[in-house]
Amino acid sequence: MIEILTSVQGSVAVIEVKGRVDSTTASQLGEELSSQITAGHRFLVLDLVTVEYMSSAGLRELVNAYKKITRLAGDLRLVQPSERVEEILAIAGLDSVFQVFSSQAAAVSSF
Amino acid sequence: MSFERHFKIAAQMQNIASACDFVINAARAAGLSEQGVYHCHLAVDEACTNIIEHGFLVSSPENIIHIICAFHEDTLTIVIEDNGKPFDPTQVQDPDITLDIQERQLGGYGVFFIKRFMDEVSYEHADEVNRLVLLKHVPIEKFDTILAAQMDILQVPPSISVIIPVGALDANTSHALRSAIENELNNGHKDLIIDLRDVQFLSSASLKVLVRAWQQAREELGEVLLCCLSQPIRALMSSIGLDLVFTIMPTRQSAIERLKNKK
Repeated sequence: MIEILTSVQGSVAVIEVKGRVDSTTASQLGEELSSQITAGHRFLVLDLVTVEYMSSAGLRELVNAYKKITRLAGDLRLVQPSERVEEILAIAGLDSVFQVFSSQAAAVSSF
Repeated sequence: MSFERHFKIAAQMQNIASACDFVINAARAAGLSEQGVYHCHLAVDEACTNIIEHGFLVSSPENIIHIICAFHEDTLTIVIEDNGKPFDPTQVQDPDITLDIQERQLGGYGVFFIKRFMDEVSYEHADEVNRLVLLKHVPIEKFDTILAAQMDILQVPPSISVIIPVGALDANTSHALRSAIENELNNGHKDLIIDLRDVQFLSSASLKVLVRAWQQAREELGEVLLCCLSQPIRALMSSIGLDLVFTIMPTRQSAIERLKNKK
């Protein structure tokens, strides 16, 4: 089960994700990230506070979106990934790629 | 505590979640921490996803994934069998995690996570079935929490207590034995039988607990007997001369009889 809620705060698109990001739900996240980029948002905040689980499928969507957006001189930043999500980022050697913030507000104002 | 549980799903994406729930429950029952449970959840999710996405040319209700979770001693074994085309995930090359993100390929992370998060991963193909075997060891500290609750106690009126520890009596669990013994002595049960039938390993800390219990019981004019020792434990006691200190009985019943007859 996944819930995705997007809001635009100034020039930043904030995508809040709730639930599991796995092989059955990751494409929904991927689509939302894609459509925000297509809509012209180069500053993305992905709020992972309520993401209880992420697998390689989720990681792939994150990497995909990051690659796209950084080629457009934008960035994708994260809010409070859980210890478990941080662990998979670290094992994949991606923990120093994404800037991480403790709140949405902090992430948004970092741009 | 041991168990073996089985679960089968038709190899379809919408069934992966129930397979994961099955494994999560088994991992929790095995006493894994939330991190360990997550690792097992992730491993099975990744394995099933790969099987479903790549293992079958044609979708059919006969495409099955069979998952077995077996827990014994301190190891959880997760076996994932499928009747898809032969495929050895252990041969998949790891993604290069030193590459800059821009150069990263998107594939291979699922198997990579399985290999990194499970303690042992092996594969075989036999009888037209792919069989992936994943092992996760349960750390001793967590094991201790299970064992502390598994100090069974049987009362034999009027004042005999039989204490039955389950599993290893190592440095972490000896305190649970000591608590159980002290509790019985404080309750006036000064004749104790420690039934070691389920104990395969006895640490020096536990031996000290047993000797101390023997001394304390004697002070109360009671006695501590040991019974049902396995051959290795018997040999251990004998090698340090404790078989000359403790009265060791072959069965619980003979130990009970011995205590009753001394009156």
